Amino acid sequence: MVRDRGRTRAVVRTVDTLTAFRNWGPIRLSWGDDDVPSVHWFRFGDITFDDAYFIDTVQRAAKRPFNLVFRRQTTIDVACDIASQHQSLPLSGIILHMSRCGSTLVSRAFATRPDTLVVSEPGPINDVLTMQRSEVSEEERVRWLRSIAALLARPQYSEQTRAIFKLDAWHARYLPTLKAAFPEVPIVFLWRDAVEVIVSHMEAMSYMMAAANAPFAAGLAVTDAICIPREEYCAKVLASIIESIQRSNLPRSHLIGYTDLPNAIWERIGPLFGVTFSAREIERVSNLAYYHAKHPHQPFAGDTREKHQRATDAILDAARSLEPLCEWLRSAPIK
Amino acid sequence: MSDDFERLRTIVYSDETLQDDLMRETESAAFVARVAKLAVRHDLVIAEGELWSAIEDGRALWYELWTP
Repeated sequence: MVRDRGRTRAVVRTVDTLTAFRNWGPIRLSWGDDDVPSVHWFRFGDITFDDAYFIDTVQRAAKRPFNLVFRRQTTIDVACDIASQHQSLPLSGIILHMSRCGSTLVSRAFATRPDTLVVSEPGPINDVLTMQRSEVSEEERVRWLRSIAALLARPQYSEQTRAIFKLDAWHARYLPTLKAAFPEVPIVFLWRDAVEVIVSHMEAMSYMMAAANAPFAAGLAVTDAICIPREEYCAKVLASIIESIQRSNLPRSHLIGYTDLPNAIWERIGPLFGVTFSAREIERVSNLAYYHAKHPHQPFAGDTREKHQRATDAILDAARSLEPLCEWLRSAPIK
Repeated sequence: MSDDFERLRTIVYSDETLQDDLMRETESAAFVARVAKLAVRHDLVIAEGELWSAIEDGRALWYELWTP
């Protein structure tokens, strides 16, 4: 979570008219000079969460000069008050994943439904989960998490009856907090063969795998992370995620393998989230799977075999270190 | 930020129809011109330079908040 550098205007600490934030949504949190978390708001208005990722929607909102000039900032407590006054969609499911494993396809499959709002990897949720302050109690963190989630889950179309959140991969490490905040919300974890995931990261490095993010991605100090070969560090991050799932007592039937997609979307994840897919909806999701989930204008080409062929010895060694965890994932029952 | 700019903010924040209207402007120059006229309508003195600075300020904060 970044610290304000005096550029921001005065933080609103009370709000006389809570309806004043009706078409506004939180985009990030930051630490103010008084060490009180503050929430930055953009007006979304007619900008709906139709993009593959939350950041893409926020970028669209940032292109409106209105949001650059009239952006707002409140304390987290004011944000919680605002959340309590506004209607939100019930949270029907949370998607966790180990990255590069079909999670975007799954989230897009639900996002195409008119009755479902999907928020994908929202920055404000990450800010609450990963904020590093010993004086932030777990109770406060849970309260803030619920409020931020409620603010993100406000209905955008009249047909919407539920919200689903797809979170960042490292958020599996914060499962105890997520379960405390949302005890009744079903959580699924998507996984994929470790060689394929590591090859993907070596060829297109992600934010999560940068050593600078080691404290929250892998529970390692940055000074340790930068001394580890990239492949090995990647395996450590993935291990940290899978171990968190192992410790969480997530039902084994909630572990969904890449090779089970796309059918697992309507056969397993849908029922867990209380969503029934009609034959037409299944056809639509199947067509969606035909295209690349992150680049929807491109046909999707399965690359499992090619990834294994491109795996270097260093990647294979790193994946081998994950074998006990991957075996545990593979042995999860299908139903 | 000038007092008149703060007064303008209060006016904008209290009027959702006005917010909808201003949100429709996607070009900064057209937006600045529109807000300048709004200020005049409310007898507020806000230089266009101040509005352009606010846009740059917003971009800089946006960059800070979202730079990995």
